[in-house]
Amino acid sequence: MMEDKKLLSIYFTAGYPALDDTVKIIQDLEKNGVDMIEIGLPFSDPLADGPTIQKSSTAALKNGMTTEILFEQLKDIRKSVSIPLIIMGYFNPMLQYGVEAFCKKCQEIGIDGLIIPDLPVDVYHEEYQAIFEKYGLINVFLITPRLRKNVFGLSIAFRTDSSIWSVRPVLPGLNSVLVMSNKTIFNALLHFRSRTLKLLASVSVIPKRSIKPPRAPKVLLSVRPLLNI
Amino acid sequence: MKSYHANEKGYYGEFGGAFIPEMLYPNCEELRQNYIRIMEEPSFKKEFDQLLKDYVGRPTPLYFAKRLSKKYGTKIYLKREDLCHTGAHKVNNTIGQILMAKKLGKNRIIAETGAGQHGVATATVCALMGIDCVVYMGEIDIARQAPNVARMKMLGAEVRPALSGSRTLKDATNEAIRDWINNPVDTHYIIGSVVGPHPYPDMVARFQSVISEEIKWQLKEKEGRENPDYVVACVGGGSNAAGAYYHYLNTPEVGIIAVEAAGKGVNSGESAATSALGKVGIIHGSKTLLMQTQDGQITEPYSISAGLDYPGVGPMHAHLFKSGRGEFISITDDEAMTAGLEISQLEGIIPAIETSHAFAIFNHKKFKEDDVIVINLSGRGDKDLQTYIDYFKL
Repeated sequence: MMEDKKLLSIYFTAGYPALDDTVKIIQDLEKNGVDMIEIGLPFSDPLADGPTIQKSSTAALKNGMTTEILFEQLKDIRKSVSIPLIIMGYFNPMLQYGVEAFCKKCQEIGIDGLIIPDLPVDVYHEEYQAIFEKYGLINVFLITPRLRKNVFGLSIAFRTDSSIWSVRPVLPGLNSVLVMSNKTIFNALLHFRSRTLKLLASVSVIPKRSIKPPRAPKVLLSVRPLLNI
Repeated sequence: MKSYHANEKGYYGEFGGAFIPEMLYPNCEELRQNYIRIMEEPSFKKEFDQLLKDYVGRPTPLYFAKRLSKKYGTKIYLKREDLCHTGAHKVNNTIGQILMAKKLGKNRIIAETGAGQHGVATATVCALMGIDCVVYMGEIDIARQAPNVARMKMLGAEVRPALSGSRTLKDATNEAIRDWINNPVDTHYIIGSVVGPHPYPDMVARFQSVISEEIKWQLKEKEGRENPDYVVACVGGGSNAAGAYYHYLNTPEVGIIAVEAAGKGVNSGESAATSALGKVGIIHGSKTLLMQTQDGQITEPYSISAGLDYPGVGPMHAHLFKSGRGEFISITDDEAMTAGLEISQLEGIIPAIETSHAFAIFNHKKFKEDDVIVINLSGRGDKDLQTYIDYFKL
């Protein structure tokens, strides 16, 4: 089931450049060999993102993008797209939609997981993990270049069993890219210094939709160097 | 007894907490682990108290406003934070936080500012300590608050424009947070209000609590009792209010009145009355009441007073509202301006427009003759002269 290869994951902001580009972008990315897509749900205040995503988010909101519209656009996406799809967004729009309703909708559509940078691991664990798991969603946590052999990192390792972790180029100056999940790789991560893509050359993948996704720990490589697409 | 202070995790009831990206976790954690210990160190206390006394000019007077009291048939005292160095209560917090930054070994300061008052207070203490200072300010605010931009520059700070989103206070705050993510080791972020992730709301409230600490002994001297019947303050993010309420939060016989900016009217679409218009949400790392669209996008508030147009409110205040401990009153631009003119001519004090909102409550709420009311006069009106001139065609 698992294969070893380098992966390419691409982020784009839904609703940009035009409101209805979402499906076409996803289809074109898959056609061009992308292994996984992060669909950005735009937010008015993306405080963990750099200037490119700030601009695309502002433009997407101006174009009229909403949570409801995004779900509507994606409702048939699994008829044409098989690679893993992740929704990346901030917590407040999900909270307003209703976290459970949001997760349920993601499952119906065939979304594999969520990246919510401002949902901290302890809050996730205490209040939302059960909901995510109920709807089969993977929650992706961020790990930063300042990760040390500390209690916090380890506590993530023992609290979650189906997560992908990433360190990504979120801002200029934060140049790490990495996603991981199981404890073995986590231990390797503790000694991780160079933070290059190569380090993760040998990782497993969420399989395409034609194969039933395993619930076992998975590792993805996320490339998000502020590509303007 | 019910407590209205933050618990260990930074929650006031259901509000507060730290909804922060993982990249910020080490920064907030370092502060969280150390802030109370540092604040309780004798050497810290000594330096803080000394600077408040000799540099800020504390204690600020508690002044019995005789003519105002007569007009409204009740006893009104004014806590004169407008007499603080730099013209407002903001400096109480920046003095505390610059000393905190030094204790933590930080050598660079960042801050956000809306109208520029907190930016000036931060630039001031950075000059005092010889520490590098970068202030983020929305591009639109930079254009409309030119004198404060000049002040910050004169004090040696770098003012960086926030170019994203609505290019105002909330975006300046986002920029400051991004800067902090990129400079986590040597930089301390001085937040200007009781907002942001834990421990900021509690830390800022503690630094501002000198206000109610002084009110207690000053009122005892004047009235023979420490507790007024009401303490009144304007609330944007809510730092002056947090300071004025602090030592009375768990004293139910002291009424707490929070005055928000209704702008052109609560239902006009141009307002900053968060308690009336906000829903529970997350802004700048804190769960609180927040003005937002149905879709959870944060909206841009409006008030004639730049210091009150924050789309959220500190989690302490959200809890005071939700629990009913605090009484929230919304005041329009027009009511605030009229009240500002009135207090100028009755007491010879030109207040900041933020504070003017607090003086407009007398048309909304009647007080008894022997009620003792303390209004926190949070800032002076020099910075608002142009707005007063334009409004009254002076």
